[in-house]
Amino acid sequence: MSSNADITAQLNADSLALPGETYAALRRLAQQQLSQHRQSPTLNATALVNEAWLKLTPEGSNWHSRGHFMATMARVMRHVMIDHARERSAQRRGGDAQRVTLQGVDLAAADDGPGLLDLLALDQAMQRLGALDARLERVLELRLFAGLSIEETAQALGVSEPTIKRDLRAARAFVSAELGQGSELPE
Amino acid sequence: MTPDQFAQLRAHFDALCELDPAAQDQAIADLSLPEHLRVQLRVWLQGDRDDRVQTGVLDQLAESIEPVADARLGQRLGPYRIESLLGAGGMGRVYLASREDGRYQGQVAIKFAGEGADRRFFLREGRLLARLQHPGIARLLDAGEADDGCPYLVMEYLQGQPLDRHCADRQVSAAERIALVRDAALAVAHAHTLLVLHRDLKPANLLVTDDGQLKVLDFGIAKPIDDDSAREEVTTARYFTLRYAAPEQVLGEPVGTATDVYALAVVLFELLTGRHPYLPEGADARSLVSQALTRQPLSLRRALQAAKRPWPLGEARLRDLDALLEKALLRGDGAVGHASMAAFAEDLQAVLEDRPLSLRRTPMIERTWRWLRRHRLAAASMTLGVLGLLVGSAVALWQAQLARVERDSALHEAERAERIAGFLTGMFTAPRPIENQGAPLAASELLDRARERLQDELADDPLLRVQLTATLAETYRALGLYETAEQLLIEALAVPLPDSDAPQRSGLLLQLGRVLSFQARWPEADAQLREAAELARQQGDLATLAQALGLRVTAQLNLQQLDAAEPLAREALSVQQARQPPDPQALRQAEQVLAAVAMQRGDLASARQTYQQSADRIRADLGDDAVERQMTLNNLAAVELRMDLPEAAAANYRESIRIARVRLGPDHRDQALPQLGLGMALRVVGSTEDAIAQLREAVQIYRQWDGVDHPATAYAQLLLAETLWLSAQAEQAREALGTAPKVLYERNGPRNGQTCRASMLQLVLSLPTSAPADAEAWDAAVSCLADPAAPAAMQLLAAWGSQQRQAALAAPISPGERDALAAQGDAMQPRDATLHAALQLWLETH
Repeated sequence: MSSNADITAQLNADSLALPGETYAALRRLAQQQLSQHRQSPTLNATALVNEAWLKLTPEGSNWHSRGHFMATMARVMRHVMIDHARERSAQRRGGDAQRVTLQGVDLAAADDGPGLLDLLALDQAMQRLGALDARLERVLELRLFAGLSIEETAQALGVSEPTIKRDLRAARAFVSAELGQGSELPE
Repeated sequence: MTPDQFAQLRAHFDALCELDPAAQDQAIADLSLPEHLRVQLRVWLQGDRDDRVQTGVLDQLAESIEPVADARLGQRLGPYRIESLLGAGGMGRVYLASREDGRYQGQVAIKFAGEGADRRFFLREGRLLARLQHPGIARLLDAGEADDGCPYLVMEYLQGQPLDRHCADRQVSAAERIALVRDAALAVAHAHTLLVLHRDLKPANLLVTDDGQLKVLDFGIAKPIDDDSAREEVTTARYFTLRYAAPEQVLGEPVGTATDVYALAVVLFELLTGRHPYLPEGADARSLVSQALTRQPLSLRRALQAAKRPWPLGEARLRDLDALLEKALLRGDGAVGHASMAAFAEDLQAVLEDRPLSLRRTPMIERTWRWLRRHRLAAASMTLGVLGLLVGSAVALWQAQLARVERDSALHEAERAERIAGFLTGMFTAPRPIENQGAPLAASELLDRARERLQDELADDPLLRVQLTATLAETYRALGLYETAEQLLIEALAVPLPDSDAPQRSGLLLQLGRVLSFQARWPEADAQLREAAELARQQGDLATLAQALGLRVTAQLNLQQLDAAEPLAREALSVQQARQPPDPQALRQAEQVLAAVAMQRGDLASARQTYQQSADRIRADLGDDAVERQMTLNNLAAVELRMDLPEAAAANYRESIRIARVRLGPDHRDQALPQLGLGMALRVVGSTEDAIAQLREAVQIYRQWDGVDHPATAYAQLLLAETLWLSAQAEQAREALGTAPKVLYERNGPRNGQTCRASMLQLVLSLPTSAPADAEAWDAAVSCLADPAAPAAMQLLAAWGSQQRQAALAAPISPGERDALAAQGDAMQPRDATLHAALQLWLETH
């Protein structure tokens, strides 16, 4: 974990292009955590990230703050989940020549399993948001993929809580409008 | 959009997001922004209202990692066994199942409501599908509720491909593509005639089955135009597909039949050219609204050229189809698209057959008339069906109107019938979006349009205009839009008619009186009804006269003019007696009105006599077992109960119960009311155990017919619980009372006698535990029951309850209080022996 300092530096520069080695370490951890959580009916992103925090940061670690770690982890979690969704989507597409469709079902979901396309759509919507305002994307990412509270998000990004609240609302609304294009998320 | 533009919009978003939608729209209109940014802002704010992201996303993410084990697989559901999961979406999960009892070969699809889905939504889809019977719409086979209470729909299982994939995979010809969209249009047009909009037409919802049949799927977000669930609109709005949604839908404006036509036009355009009529290739679908509102759609010709696709159907048909699609797709500058799905389908057929388009020849209304002329029979039944959906009583008037038309000269008959049919059809096909927020509004918009047209088109036929105005007014009245109904009737009364049509006038005055009565404007109502009665009397129109007199009785009763009411009721009765041929049922009703007036005046003996006569007459006319006799006996017994004649009341209630059993079968709902009455009569004479048995049966019947949440069930539960409590069976009383206090509170409001009585009983039954805590509830119940207008038994319950509470609070009961209660109890003696006995017992032990 020699490049931890780099990670925080990167975070401060508002970019999450991690050095390969660190990214790989985080990613392995995330996958490990995910596979453990597969047994439980719902995934608790906050618990998962907290576990990762405990595992990955021995005493005296030079992570600047827990918030920065969360931000990194949120991004990694997102990547892992999206990749997983893509893989599954690809698996399903291969080899099933005869498509079965029926009434009352989101056809995309019927083909690809519950939620997969929604997740990809969510990711794309967030990317479009990020292209217009990087901080809004980051705020939403922390909320959705690391389960951070308003307070924690404010600490992680070094802005005030009211600002985070406003950001979160704008970001959610934007992504919500984007998702309105076709895929449906449950209420 | 650039980041700079985004930042600019973001500032507006922050400023506007706290406002309500109307204020937002106003503020956006005032901003100096380019139109596309304005639209963008609206969409963004709509996203804020929808908020798809806030909740559920984490669960969604979890599900994407590993689907939760599915308990439904292998389950048996009635005759079906669930075999596999076919798919899942926000609205529910769909399984493949097969029938196990061998009666029906093959497989079905079973759709369960999703956990997050709104069940009302789901049940509505079931109801809508049950209405829609068309070969182009997937059939609903069955519906029910699984053991765990989850509702499900059993549907025809269809195997096939979405329309776009079907066309691509099989290289379907242009003509066949048009024919498939025409089939879809015919199916959706069928839904439109039943006032159902689809609202999410897209290739994925248009299935081509393996044998080539087109089926329109997923009426999950469809909405009946006459639906009364205005609030659901908020939740419904979010489910549609932006790419195929017309601007009015995206912007949350009222959507209508033209919205569905727009979607099919986009589908056809894409099938023929491979691209969207408004969106450049690869463009963001969110810019669609601004494109559609500010530009012409791409022409079919240019799109085909650009895509280098051949057009095998010739120049004329290309021109025609181009015009048809443009009409359907055009928005902005006041263009509203193509409102008739049936005409759209017919024009697609015209393209296929190389006939000229109706669209190019004639304006909308004329075209509808032409269509009507060709399909007169179908049109007539459609208009009646459509009107029936609006209001049943309007149909009755309508049929009377048709009967009147028949009496007119043969020459005019056909022409008039056609004008009526054309008029009504026009209500539903005129080129304007017709759906609104909820039932009264949606229907009223249709009516408003009809009203405008009445004046324009029927000026040369005043009688027909008056008759149709009366029909419309009746429809408005039934929708509760009394002021409009009133205004229409006043307009109709102002139309000059030849003398021979004067009967019309008394009818209009009668209607006006009724509308005013519904608004509780009794003096005005009475004035109109008086004039109606006078006219009817002059014309010898005894039916109208009797009705007007009957309504005047109601008005006078409401004006507390009991003395005026009685002679009117008597006159109404004598008019009925004079009618030739007589209308025995109307006669008996007039008798009962007279009895009700007497009861209102406190003249119980006279009321009893009249009810008795009426019951005897029914017996003579219709025999012992007439259902009408049953209802009259109920009224008679109720009077007798009030007259402290419990034995006589019990005998009549018993006879009423017998009739209900003989004529309506065991445990019919109409048996429950006399059983309640009999229970009370038995309680009063002190046969408490028999009383409890009757009340129990009544509760059982109401529960079976009305369910537990119905006020009738709750009231029966209250009477049972009260009687159980009086006979010192507190435990059973508590059980019998159940949720009755809550149901009565929700249905009748807090200041209602039944509500107070139920909550008082509940408080008494929960003594002593709740005594200190519920002081406020006590005070409320006591003050409500101490109302001098409350029946004596309730006042006693309040007094007694207060004393019990005092005892529970260990506060001494003063001798004065005790004596007052005893005196009250003594005064009750002739009325309720069970109550009295219970009270005596209590006084002795305290």
